[in-house]
Amino acid sequence: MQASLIRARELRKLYRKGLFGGEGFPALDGVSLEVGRGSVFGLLGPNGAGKTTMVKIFLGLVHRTHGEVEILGQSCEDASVRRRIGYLPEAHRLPGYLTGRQMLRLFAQMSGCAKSEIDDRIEKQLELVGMRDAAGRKISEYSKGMQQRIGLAQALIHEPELVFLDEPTDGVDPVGRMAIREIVLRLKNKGVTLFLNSHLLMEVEMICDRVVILSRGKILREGTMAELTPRTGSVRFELKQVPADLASLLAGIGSALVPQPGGFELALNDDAELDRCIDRLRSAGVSIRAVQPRKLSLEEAFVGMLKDQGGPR
Amino acid sequence: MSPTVRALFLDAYYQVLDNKVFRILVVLVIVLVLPTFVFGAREEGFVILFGMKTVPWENLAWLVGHNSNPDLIVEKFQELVVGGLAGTIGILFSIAATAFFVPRMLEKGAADVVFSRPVGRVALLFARYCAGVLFVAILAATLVVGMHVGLLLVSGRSDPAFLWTILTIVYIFALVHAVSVLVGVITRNSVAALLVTMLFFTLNGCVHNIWILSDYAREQGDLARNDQDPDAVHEDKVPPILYHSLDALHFTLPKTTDADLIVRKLRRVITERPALLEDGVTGTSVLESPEGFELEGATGKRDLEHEPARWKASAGDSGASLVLRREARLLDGKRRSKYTAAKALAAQVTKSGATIVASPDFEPGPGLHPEMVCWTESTGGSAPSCATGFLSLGDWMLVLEVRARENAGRELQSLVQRMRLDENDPRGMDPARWYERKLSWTGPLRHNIFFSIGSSLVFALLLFLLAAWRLKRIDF
Repeated sequence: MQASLIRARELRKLYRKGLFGGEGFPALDGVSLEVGRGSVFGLLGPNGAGKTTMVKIFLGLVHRTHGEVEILGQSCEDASVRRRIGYLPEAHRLPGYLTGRQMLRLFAQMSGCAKSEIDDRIEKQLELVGMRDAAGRKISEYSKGMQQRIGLAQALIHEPELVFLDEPTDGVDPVGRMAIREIVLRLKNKGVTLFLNSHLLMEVEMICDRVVILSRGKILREGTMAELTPRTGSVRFELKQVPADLASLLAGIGSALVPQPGGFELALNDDAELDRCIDRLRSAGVSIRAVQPRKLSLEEAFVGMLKDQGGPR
Repeated sequence: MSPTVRALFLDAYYQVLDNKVFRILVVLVIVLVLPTFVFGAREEGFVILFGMKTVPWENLAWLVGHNSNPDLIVEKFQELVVGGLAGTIGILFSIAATAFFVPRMLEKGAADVVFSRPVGRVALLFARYCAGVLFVAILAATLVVGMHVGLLLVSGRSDPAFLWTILTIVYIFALVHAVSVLVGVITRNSVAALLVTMLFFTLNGCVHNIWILSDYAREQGDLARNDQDPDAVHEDKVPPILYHSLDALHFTLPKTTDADLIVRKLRRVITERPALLEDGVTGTSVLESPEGFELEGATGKRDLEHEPARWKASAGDSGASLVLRREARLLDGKRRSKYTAAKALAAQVTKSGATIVASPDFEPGPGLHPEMVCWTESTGGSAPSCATGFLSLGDWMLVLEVRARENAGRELQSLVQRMRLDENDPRGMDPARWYERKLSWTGPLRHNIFFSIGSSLVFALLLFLLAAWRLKRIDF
């Protein structure tokens, strides 16, 4: 891993209840984390797991109860570090009295962009999120999807090194979703580190290099996508025509044969068994269209991990 | 100005312009300014549309009285619009229009976007506070400058000091807006901020008016005891704790009701003409000589106790004279009021065989209430008419003596009106007038303008700091 952009140690956050700060509940309970430069980092967890709290602590929006956080080599309480951070919050509310262009100018200025660069940056971001035509309209007139796209533009207007995206595709149609995914990948290719918080596990699976799964304020699992979604051992065969005597044809090879429309799934112990299986099918004149080793989807892995832990809070 | 600060102010400006209540208020302001361009008050009468039609003042006697004075009419109109409407109803409207500024910034979703920027929370809060003040400043400036230009062009009246009222309105609002900001941060609710601020504005005004009345009553009681006047001495049944509580509230709360008086005093400092004569001890000034009279001796500062001012008739009534002098109120160990002095003189005059005559109806200027004795001397066919007026000023009594061929009372009246004497005797004075007299740049703490402004600003600052402290602790 390259140099860490985010380094959190024993992070705890206790939300207190009532006027006098009576006993509350721990949103984060001893989380330690490191995020490397140039990666797309996925943050998963059930509702109330502490994902948003963690991101907000990194941004100085929530005060931590205990622990240390270093963002881009500075304390997260230092406002100047936020010059290098972009943030698209979940369910954000941008100032409706401004037009898209005015809002981008406001946030560019607030983020300390040089006056000479602001116009270029605004046009560039509007182009990136496909909002150039609507930039002169007031934000209050935007649809949910447009608000999400202009929100993404405000998060990127100052060309940050680290971007936190909290449910970036929430409320966006499939085409817009794909466009946002492309933007994220483009940013990744430019070396921007992204921290993605999403409930859409497929999206996370497609984009993220590393994933952290949080539950009940603790890290349940952390790793690369390959580590979190291992092969199951099963192989799916797609055939031109499924023979009627499939079970007898494959007798003695692997286990747990599951016939499926257009093929079957078979648990195999090793590659030798896979070769034998293909040989049997071919010798019986069966045309094989595809052979696909089956691995766990992120969703299956995620649900499995939560079940093992006893379910969400 | 740094780009960040400029951005915050620009944001505030856009927020203000987008505000619907602001637009309504702009329309109302235009409605108030427009008449000053359409109608005018000139010497010749009430002018409509740059002289298209002129209605003589005599025809409007039912509305403005017989002694119509265009300056006075313009002044009353200004006071009604700026002091009455803008200073009270306008402030309440402005509270309603700006109460949401802070709570909306702190709403979930909005706060995340704004506070994740490299700008401190306190700076953002201050920008929102300024947005509110800017809101009112724009409206007040439009109203006052608009009226000023209208009155100048159509009525031919220009009082640059009137422009100071912009400051009054902005000052009052800046004090009240701090309450709105604090409540907005604590509750993060626009309705709560609006209601609490309106309630505060109203109650704060009540507290100060009650405090003025109580302070006035206390001083009246003290004076009566000092004068050993059994008719005026009443047993004070109010528990002292109540007075102390009122004092504590007065010293703590912002003194919004003082703003108008302070500006009036500032205006006076700016517009007052140099005096013809000034008493070095009481500070009482005489602006000009009464019509038909000439001052004997030098103009400027003098001690009226040892060097009384004398006027003699410039033509016609060669025997007529006016004298203004000062004497101690303490006489034979007793402190005299203007009433007791007049009573004693009347007895003396009667004893000398002169005939007391009724004093003319007096329409004095603000605060001028001399106690008068008028009489006719019995010296044959053409008995001269005499009048003496008493005005008490702290430990001093100003005595005005007039001797004329006839109707000396009217001459005295004319003298007083032209002289614009200060009257500092608080006995029987109207409480509002009394407080206006008391409030001064050099007075004791409870009546000191610097303290009034300073303590009010400190109050607003404390509320703002409290709001900033609370904001810094919020977990969004």
